[in-house]
Amino acid sequence: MINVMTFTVLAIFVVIIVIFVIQKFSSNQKLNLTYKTKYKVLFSYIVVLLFATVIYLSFVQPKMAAIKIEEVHAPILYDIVYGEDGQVGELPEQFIKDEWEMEPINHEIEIALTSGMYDAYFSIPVVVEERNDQNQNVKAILYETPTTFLDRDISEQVSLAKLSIEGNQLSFYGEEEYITVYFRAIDKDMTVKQFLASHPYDVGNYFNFEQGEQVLYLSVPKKIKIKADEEFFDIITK
Amino acid sequence: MSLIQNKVQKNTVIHVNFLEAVKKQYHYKLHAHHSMFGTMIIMQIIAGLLTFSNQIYSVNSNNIDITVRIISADLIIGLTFLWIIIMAFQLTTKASKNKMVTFVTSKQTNHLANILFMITLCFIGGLTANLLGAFVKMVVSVMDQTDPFIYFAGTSVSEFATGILATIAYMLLIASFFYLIGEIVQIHSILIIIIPSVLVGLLFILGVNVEPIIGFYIFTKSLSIMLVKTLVTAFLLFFAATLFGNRLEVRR
Repeated sequence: MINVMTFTVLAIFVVIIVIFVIQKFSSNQKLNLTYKTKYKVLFSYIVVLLFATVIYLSFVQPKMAAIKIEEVHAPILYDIVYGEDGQVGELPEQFIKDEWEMEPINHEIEIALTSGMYDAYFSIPVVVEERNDQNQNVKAILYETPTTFLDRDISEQVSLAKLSIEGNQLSFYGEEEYITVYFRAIDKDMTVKQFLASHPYDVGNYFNFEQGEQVLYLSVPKKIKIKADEEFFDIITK
Repeated sequence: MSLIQNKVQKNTVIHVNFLEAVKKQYHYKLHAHHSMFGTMIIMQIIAGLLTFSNQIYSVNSNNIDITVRIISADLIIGLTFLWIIIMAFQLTTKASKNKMVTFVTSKQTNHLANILFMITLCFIGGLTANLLGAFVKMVVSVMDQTDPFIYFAGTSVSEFATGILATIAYMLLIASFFYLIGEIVQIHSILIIIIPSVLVGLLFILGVNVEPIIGFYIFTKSLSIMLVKTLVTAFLLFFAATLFGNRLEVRR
C-alpha cells in the first residue's frame, strides 16, 4: 500500500503530465479549447465542488462530529510521590498497570534498565515500604498513567517501559528504535479561525502531549537489600 | 431651458457610453483572460493534493515521535492568494494593455474594467478555494483510513460562509496591492528591479516589522470590521493604482 506522500507526489506528477499533454496538443491545434469550453469546465468544477460541499456539510461532517473520543485527565504521580511535605501519598489504584510477587534469594533484589532508547530525563521513582510481618516475599506494583495527546489516550500507540521479573531481578526494558505515531486531524481553515474567540484544538500552535508516568511500588520485608542504578531509579522509602 | 436640456442629454449620453465601454471591456477581459481560470483550477488541484500530506511533526521525549497530518483549506487558500497576485500583475502588463487598443477606450474605463474583472476573479477564487477545502476534508473523512483521527473540528454553515467572505476580502486586498505595484512598475522598467529590492531590503536587511500592518487585518475578530478594513484599503489601493496608471498612455 502506498503512503500518502508517495500518492501526493504521484498525483502531482500526473497533473503536470496532463497539463503538458494538453499544452502540447493545444499548440498543435489538435486540441484547442474554446472560450466557451473553458467556462464550461469552470462551471462544472464549481458545480462538482458545491455538490461535494453540500454532502460534506450535511452528511459526512455530522457523522464525524458524532464520534466522541474520550478525554483523559490523569493525575501527576510524581506530585504524589514527591509530596510537598516530604511524605509519599497514596498512589491511585485505577492506575495499577500490573502486580507481581517474588521470592528473593539472599535478601537482595536488583532493579535494572536492560534495554531501550531513553533520554537523560528518564527516571522511575521506586517507592519502598518495609513490612514488619514474617512474609519474606516482595510485592511489586507498577503504576502507570496514560500517555495523552490533545487529551486523548494514545497509550496503545505509545507504550512506556515494560517490566519483567526473573529471579532477583526486576528488569525494565523498552523499544530500541524511535516509535513514530501517525495521526490525522481535520482543522478549521485560517480564514475561519480568525473570527473564533478560542479554538480548543489548534494543533498547529498547541501540542498538548503528556507522556505517561511510571512509579514502581515495592512492599518488602525488613532488612532486604535493594540494588538499583541511581541514574534511572530514585528509591524513596515510605 | 433648451440649453439646460441639451446639457443634461449630453451628460446622459456620455454617462451611458462610459458604462457601456466598461461593460464591453469587462466582457472582453472575460473572453481574453479565460485561461486564468484554468491556471486557478490547476493550482488549486495541486494545493488540494498537497493538503493530503500536509504534516506537522512533534518530536517528544525519549523515543517517541508524533506526526499529525492536519487537513484544512489553508494551503489551497494560500495558493489561490498566489494565483491572484500573478493575475493582478498580469493585468498591468504592456501586453494586457495593448489588447485594449482595439476598443475606443479611456484609461479610466480600462482600470474600472480591470477592477471589476479582479472582483470576479476574487469571487470565483475565494469560493472555489473554500469549496475544494470541504471536498478534500470529505475525501479524508470518508476514504482515507490510514491513520486514526486525533481530532475533528467541524465547520458550521455560517462559519463556512464567513470563510468564503473573508477569503474573497483578503484576495481583493492582495489583488489591489499587487495591481498598484504592477502599475508603478509600468512607469519605468528599472522599477521592476528597484521595487522588489526595496521590499526585500526593508523586510530582511533593515528588519522592518510588518506585523502591525498585517495584524491590522488578521487580528480583527469581527467579520464586518475586517470586511470594512479590507474593502476600504482595497478601494484606496485601486484608486492609487488608477492615479499611477493615468500617468501612462494606454499604448506607449
